[in-house]
Amino acid sequence: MKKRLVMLLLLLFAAMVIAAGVGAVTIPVAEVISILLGRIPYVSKWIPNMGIENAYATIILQVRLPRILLAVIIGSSLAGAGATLQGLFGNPLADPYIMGISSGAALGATIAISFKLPSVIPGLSSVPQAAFLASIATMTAVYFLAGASGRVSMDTFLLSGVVVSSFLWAVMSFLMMVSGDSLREIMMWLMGSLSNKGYAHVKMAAPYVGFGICVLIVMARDLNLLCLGDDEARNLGVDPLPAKRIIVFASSLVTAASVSVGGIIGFVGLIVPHTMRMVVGPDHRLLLPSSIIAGGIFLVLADTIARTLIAPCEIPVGVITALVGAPFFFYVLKRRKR
Amino acid sequence: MDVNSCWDHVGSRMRFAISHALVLAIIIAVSGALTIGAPVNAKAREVTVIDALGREIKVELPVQSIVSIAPSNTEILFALGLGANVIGVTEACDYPTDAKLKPKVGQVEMNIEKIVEMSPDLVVAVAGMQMSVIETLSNLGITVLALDPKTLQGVLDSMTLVGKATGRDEAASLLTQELGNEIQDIQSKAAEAVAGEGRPKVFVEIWDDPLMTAGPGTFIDELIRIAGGENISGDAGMEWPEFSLEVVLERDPEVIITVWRDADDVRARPAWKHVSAVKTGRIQKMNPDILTRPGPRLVQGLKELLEIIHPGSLD
Amino acid sequence: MRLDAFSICHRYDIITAVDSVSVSLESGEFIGILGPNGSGKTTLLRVLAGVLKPCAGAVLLDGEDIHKMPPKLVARKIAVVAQNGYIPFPFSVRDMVMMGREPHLGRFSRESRRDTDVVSQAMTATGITHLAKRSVLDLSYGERQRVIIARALAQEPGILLLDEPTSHLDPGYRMEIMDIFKSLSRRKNIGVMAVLHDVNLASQYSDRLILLNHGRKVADGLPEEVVTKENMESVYGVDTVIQTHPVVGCPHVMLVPGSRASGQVEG
Repeated sequence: MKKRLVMLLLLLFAAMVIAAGVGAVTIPVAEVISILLGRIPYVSKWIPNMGIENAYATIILQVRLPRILLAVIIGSSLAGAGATLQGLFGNPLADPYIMGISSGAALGATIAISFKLPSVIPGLSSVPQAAFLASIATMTAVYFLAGASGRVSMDTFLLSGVVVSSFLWAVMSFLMMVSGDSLREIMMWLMGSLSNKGYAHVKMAAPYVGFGICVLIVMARDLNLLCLGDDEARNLGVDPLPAKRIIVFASSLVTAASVSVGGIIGFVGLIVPHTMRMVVGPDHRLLLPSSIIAGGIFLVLADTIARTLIAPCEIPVGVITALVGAPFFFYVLKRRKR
Repeated sequence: MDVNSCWDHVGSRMRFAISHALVLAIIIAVSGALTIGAPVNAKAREVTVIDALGREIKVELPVQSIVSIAPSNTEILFALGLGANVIGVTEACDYPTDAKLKPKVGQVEMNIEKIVEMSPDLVVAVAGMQMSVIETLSNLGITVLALDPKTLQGVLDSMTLVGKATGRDEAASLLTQELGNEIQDIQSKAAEAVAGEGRPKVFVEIWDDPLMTAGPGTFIDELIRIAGGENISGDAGMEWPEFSLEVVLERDPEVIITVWRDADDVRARPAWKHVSAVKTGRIQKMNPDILTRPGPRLVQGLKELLEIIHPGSLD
Repeated sequence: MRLDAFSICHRYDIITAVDSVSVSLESGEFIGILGPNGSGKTTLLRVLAGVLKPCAGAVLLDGEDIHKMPPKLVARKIAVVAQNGYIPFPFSVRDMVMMGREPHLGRFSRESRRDTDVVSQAMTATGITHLAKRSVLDLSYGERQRVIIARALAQEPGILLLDEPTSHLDPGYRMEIMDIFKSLSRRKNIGVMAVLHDVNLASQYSDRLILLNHGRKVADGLPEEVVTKENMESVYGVDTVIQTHPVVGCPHVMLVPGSRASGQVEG
């Protein structure tokens, strides 16, 4: 069990290093290595200064690295939240956006764009901040709406998610029609992108994602029991209601954080958990951490393809996740069946 | 999924508009049949022009009422002195100021009913983007002139075309001559500057997230070349590509032109701090309308570009 | 270990499912709960398991209110075998049985040698060792039921609550599984309370029987005290002939066909 996770971590690291070395601009491997190692304290002393061009260092450290980190953060959160919600709902079709978080984030972004809200965090536009707050608000609304009928059943949950989601999209569509010249910016935001983002985005999302992922991993055990139903969970010692609350909150938190900095990127939260379930099995104690790591690997690689395939132009990463994800998924499904 | 439903929404509205158009088409066809016997105005003079879609367009002169369904067309019509004849424009038609006072016939989608109700002598549209509107209106018996200039010269040609179709040949030839002279003047000044300082590398930021620029085939690309600069994304292979940030940094533009973000926003980005244009402060925000709208103001855009790319060369 | 329920009630909205029922179960005892459909058997069991809160009365586990105990502590003492539920993912048999160890594990602790031993024993006791690596989704109904029973055993409970554990099983499986429970209650001194549909099976295996009707306890005692012609008629509305089982010596019910059509039973 541990061995497989360590393997996945190594793969993630390898993917990150490869992604750092590959790009629209060709940088010699030796320079990539020395630029990367040169940033590690103590090690840097032993790295000869190769007279590296400033632009190369900037490209690797300021362009590729934050983007890679962001891909890891977003990929991990979406895959982790996807695996969690699939377990919680006992439904393999659940994905991180199922509870209306994406519509909340989209509305938040739309409001920030239409009303030109001022930023609270320096170096970061108000859009991700508003998206984050709005998705948290949406999640809370969905939760209370679902809970209004007394006990929280997962069906009610999904239903309130759909209802709230449709309502928010309607509000958003209205705002978009009224807001005229902001229309384009909103549409752009909705597409989801990892382009031209910096450490400010990483710093904004990382704490929430880090915290949320830790919570999810801690709750993996409970998830195993919860996916069998409330009574079963209870009989095996897990109080379902508080456990579900914590899990829903944590998965919403990571989704909200990643959507707010990366927009809506599809497929990751659906396909990575599925694939990992076929590879490591359904035990969430292994499935959750593997999905989280594999989500990072997947998005880093997808984004590397997105930014190199037709260089110097780029392809929206969501296009790649769908194009690569779907066939790969079928391959795994078929191999598994055999 | 959700984005799709948003588009579906747009689609259903479109279908709604089209079905209405069909109903109207029937009504008009019937009423047209009823007026067959009406006397023809003998004084009317008819001209025939070939529009951007290669269609033969017959227009009865004088043209009293015109609807423009693109901002660039509105600018051309006003420049030809037809402002008073324009009876309908789009929400996006914001230049000249008088255009804003005209009745609106749509934003992105056109309100077919409204246009039919206005029964203009001529509708000036844009080929490509507005194919379905052009088709619908033509089927309803409305004369539609489609423009689709791809180059600066093409813009001058479409002015001539509009002049011909509206009986304003003279105004059109005056306008194109004036603009042509101006372009020639800028061209020679730019050539002089290029001989002295070479072609500075220029990056035009259309959008910041994702990073988008103007590629080959756009007016921006052409204008930069005429103004003596080199568009660093001239090899992009697409008109409006998402462009690699690291390639921008590697190609190190000496001039950055933004149309959306402010120069300060660009300066604040950590990754951009070693870019020549950032270090020398040669970042300029421009009004995108004078760079992208195929109308008379492109020449103004060209002039501003020359001033930015080769400062002082205009004097 | 003992489980005592004092005049507990439970209502679903306005329908009273359990109406002041008192029962108690001791270690090593095997109690069968009988009653027609809708008589409140399952609800009673869920209240006893701590899943449902009673609207009146209390359930005490060794003198402690079960509804005020952390679920984890309850799960160390009481295991429940409910009717086969939906399993969404292909857990392996071994993983499924290991879930029975959850109540004994800390949040961050890993399974110890002892946990794996307990799981192996539980799988041996239920005869599913050879299925260990199979996915539960690929098993037959009877095999799956044995997995759930093994999981319950892995909890090392003092009390086992069973909700129709042998429904949908053929007679051979049915006996095999009842034998497992019986021997557990004897050898491991586990208190077993089983909701059963089959009156004869209940009579054969139970030390004591409780008969429910309309949420009320109508009889409580030895099988021969509960399985009587009168009780069968008043509760199930059937005419029966009761004989003594020639081998076990418990009362055995034989239905008289057509007796229910006489209309002497209310809904």
